[in-house]
Amino acid sequence: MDTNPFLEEDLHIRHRPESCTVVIFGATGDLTHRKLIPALYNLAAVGNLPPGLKVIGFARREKTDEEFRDGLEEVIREISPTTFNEQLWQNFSENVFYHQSEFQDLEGYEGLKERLEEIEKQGRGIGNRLFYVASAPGFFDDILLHLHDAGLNRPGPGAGVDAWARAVVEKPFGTDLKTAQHLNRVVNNTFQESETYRIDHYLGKETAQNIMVLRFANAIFEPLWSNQHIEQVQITCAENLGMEGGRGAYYDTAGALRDMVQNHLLQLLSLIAMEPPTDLSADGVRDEKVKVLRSLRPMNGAEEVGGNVVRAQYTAGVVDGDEAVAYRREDRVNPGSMTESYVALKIRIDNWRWEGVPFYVRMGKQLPKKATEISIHFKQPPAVLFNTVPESDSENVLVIRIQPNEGISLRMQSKLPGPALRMESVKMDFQYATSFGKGSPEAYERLLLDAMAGDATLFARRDEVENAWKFVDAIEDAWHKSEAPPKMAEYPAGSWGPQEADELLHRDGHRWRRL
Amino acid sequence: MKKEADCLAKIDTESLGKEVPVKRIDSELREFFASDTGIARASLMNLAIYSESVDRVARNTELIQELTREHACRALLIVSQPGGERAVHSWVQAHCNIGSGGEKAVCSEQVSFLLCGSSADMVRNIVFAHLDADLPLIFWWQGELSEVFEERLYSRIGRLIVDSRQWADPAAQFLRLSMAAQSDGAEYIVHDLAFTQSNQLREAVALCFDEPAALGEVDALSKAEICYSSGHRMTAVWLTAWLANRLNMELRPGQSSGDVYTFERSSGRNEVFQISLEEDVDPEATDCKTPPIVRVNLSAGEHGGRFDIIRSDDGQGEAYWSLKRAIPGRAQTSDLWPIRSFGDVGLVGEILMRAGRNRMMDELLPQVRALLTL
Ligand SMILES: NC(=O)c1ccc[n+]([C@@H]2O[C@H](COP(=O)([O-])OP(=O)(O)OC[C@H]3O[C@@H](n4cnc5c(N)ncnc54)[C@H](OP(=O)(O)O)[C@@H]3O)[C@@H](O)[C@H]2O)c1
Repeated sequence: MDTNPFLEEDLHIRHRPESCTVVIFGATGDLTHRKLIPALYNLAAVGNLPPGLKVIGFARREKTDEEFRDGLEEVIREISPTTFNEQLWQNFSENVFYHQSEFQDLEGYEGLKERLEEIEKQGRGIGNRLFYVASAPGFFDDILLHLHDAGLNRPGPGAGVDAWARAVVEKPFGTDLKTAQHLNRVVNNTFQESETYRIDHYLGKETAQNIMVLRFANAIFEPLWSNQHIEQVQITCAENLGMEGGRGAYYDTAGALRDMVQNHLLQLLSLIAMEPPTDLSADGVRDEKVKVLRSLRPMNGAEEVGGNVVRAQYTAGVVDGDEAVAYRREDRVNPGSMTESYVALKIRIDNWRWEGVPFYVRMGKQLPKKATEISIHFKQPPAVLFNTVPESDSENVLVIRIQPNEGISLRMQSKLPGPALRMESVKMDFQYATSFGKGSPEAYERLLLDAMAGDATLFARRDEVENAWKFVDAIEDAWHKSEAPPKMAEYPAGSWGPQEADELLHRDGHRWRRL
Repeated sequence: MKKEADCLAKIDTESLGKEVPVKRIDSELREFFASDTGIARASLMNLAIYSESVDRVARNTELIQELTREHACRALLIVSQPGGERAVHSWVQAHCNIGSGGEKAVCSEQVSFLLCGSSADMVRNIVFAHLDADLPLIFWWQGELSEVFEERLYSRIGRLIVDSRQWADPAAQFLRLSMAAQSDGAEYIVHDLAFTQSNQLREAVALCFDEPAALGEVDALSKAEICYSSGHRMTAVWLTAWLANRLNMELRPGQSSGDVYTFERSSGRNEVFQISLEEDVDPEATDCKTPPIVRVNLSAGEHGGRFDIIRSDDGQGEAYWSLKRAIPGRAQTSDLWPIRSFGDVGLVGEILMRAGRNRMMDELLPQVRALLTL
């Protein structure tokens, strides 16, 4: 028998992947404790993990298996006190192990190999391996090279023909095109592209996945989805935090453009702008997304960048009622820093569908609230009928809220009651939490399961990453390598960004949507 | 003729909210939602609960209140009293929960009807006139199907929920359902709560064979034992029909009787497959802690694999499914996960949660009827 006759499509929300061993590099770190292990445990608790799954944590400090489990338990108890269950944890954590080694030490990988084979033997001996690289990016090279040299890029001994070894790589994937290409080479030397899963946790969010459903499962949007009916598109990612918790050290080396726009926001943009894929396979979807990234009109030179991109840093201000210091005065930020905490871009997509439609993308720290939203602004109808000049904020707007308060809203015009013909904007609002009671699952749960199941749809492919870097690099170069770089604007912490960003839209007769 | 006043006197109206004349229902609801800006109305479906039992009123309101926490809907509670003088009473109320955003209370409304001298016409003309337009109608029929269940009523339904555990003669009721399903107007999908409560167990059976070594044992399976708690025989029967369906087996009626069924396998190494049902007589078992099925064993003869799904306790009030696979030549493996609620709210919630056609029950119905007539 080849397929499990007891699986029912309607009952099983998804097929349980085959069992495997997950090896996490950087297992004593924050990501493992706060996201990865809780996600695996939650999946196990509802019976969604493949039976017999094992986890091996790899990190530098000395720890026994017991100590490692205790540390994980402490965090899980803290983050999910109501759902923590002693017996389930016991059952899950028996399958969690710790392997101590330096990332740079080949012997450590040979030791890992022995341990892995021993653990695989104890278990079901299927030999599938998922290597999760959750270290700082500086170690990606070492880890991948050593995995290769230790022969760990293959399924375990005696595994069947369908067995696999895969790598999941965390962000940031490179700091520019060159480093990304280098990393891609290193990764693909060790694992084939089809076995490489680059995490972009935004794609694991329900609302991001819903973009395709909204566009392609509803007959009313797609016919309007082009320059014929759409005037402009805005993507906003606002954060009301600064550099708390020592974040400045990393952030000051990256900046808003690299940290958020290159990956998450350009991914959202491609989901909005892509053509309907021929099928929903990983490559079917990613082929269409990468076409969008390849069609982004490049910005050449400081002048073009200056005309289409605004970068800024926050000055002292008040956020959520609390005093906030200026970006350059933040902990672990260089006082003379030229790293942007805010960026706004006007992006053009050079294809038939989007010719003439600007995509405005902005991302900022220390803004008044936390929100990631996409808004599609439709063209004004001709004014002939109602004999009024349309007001600027009276166009139809379709909003997709990614977080928080996930949902969709549509703004329309309606007549005000009364004898005169007066119109007012009204909003139809759909909120996930209101209608579907249940919260959305954590992005990492979905992504881990997908990687185990070999479904790469929600992961970034090599060419997507490289094309996004190519676009972003031209801007970074203009900022940091040109002779007359565009200026660094300023905005008070707690405001909606610099005036220059407003002007960027005013020039086109547009303005930022008020969130 | 029964007096209309007698009909009203029999039910406890306290839990039903504000009594309003039928023609005022909509305006009353509008006023309610206009009166407070801190609330939002939400609805994804119409959920009607139909009962001819006068003692279920308060319990049904509680069920609606619990269901609306996760399933925003317009709830219609129908207390039906066939026969006697015709009269209608109606009540409105809202169930509000603080949304996950915290800023607004999300409310679902409940409209309750007492139909004295009820008929399918009354349900259709009075109750269905208050459906939320364009949203699907899920109709939960509690108790035996009466003469009110006829084409004029069921032709409007998208999903019909019944509960064969409450039926005195399931074979006769299923026959009625099958006949209704064949009539022109019927487009609904049936869900029997007795089947729904086997969902997690069916998942567990599938999980037993989710790995290649175990999958190799499927062809050799020749025996299943299903042990059910008292009052849940129908779930065991559904499970039997399901196993037969999944393994592509034909019932041998001549060799089946009472609680032992013999099937013929058209594929597989063993021609004959036997399923036996057994009632659990655990004096300690209480309704809320005992799952409908307490144990399922599947085995492949003396030298083959054996798969056990057993309910286990941690001694602290938590119950789990414990799954053990014993395959010759391999170490035994096991899994554990919590048993989902099998109360009415949990079961109906599961039905509401699953989109799609869910045709499995339709497929199994002929087999279930065959088993019930043995
Ligand atoms: N934290 C998040 O929520 C988050 C979210 C998205 C992406 N990420 C990305 O995920 C990665 C990890 O983030 P993190 O926050 O978990 O980092 P972290 O808390 O600093 O953890 C780093 C881990 O790497 C290990 N390590 C460092 N140097 C090592 C060496 N030479 N040999 C062996 N192990 C070594 C550390 O082990 P010892 O403690 O034993 O030294 C620790 O387990 C980063 O790429 C980050 O950008 C993190």
